[in-house]
Amino acid sequence: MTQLIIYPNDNGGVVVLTPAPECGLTIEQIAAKDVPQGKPYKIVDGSDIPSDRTFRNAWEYQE
Amino acid sequence: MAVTLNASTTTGLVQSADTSGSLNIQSNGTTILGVTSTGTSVTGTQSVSGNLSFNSGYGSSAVAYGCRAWVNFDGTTNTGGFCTIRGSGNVTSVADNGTGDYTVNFPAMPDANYCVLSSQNIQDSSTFSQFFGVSTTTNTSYSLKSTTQVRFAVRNPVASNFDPFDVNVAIFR
Repeated sequence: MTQLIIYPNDNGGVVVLTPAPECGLTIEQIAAKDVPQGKPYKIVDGSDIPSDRTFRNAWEYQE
Repeated sequence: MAVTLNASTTTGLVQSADTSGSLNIQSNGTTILGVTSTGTSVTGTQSVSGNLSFNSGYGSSAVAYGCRAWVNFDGTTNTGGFCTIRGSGNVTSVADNGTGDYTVNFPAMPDANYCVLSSQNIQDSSTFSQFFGVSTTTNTSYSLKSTTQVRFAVRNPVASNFDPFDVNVAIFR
């Protein structure tokens, strides 16, 4: 299953970062490059992300 | 057959010749550059330090400017609920910031004065999409355009963000 990176945005929501499969970087390298500096993040499985996006902007990041 | 010059890793220069009028330049037996009466063929990774010019229907040989990064992804609900990247080049990731709100990440460009082009395909004939907000001053939420990131929104005619089925982004520099 696809691994993703999640981190909190500045509005109390959550950003879901999808790695480009052809970029040649590991997911840890992508997190180091693309997650804003100082933001906590988690590497999660794609199946952990809700498939219903009806209330996408209400999603929250939990430590 | 062809005239062949091979840089062998075991015996050094290996050469052979015939009267075909063709020339092959090889690295350890693999042809990298082939020259015939009709043109050249090159394999492997090429590095051009100067400008790259070609005709290809333009009318004359002129400098061409290539796409430096591109991505096609699905912004709608799918099996994982995240952006499925269908294809990309020189892109490291796509951030789903919220409904119709995305950031494309890529290796550093020389500056942020690049051109961003985008199109979206939606599955609702009653709605059209608007690519919105790269470096706009009217909505600072979508003002991120740096050497490594560009953030944008996709909106419908009533200014509501929505998730398109097909999002295409290309960066030229």
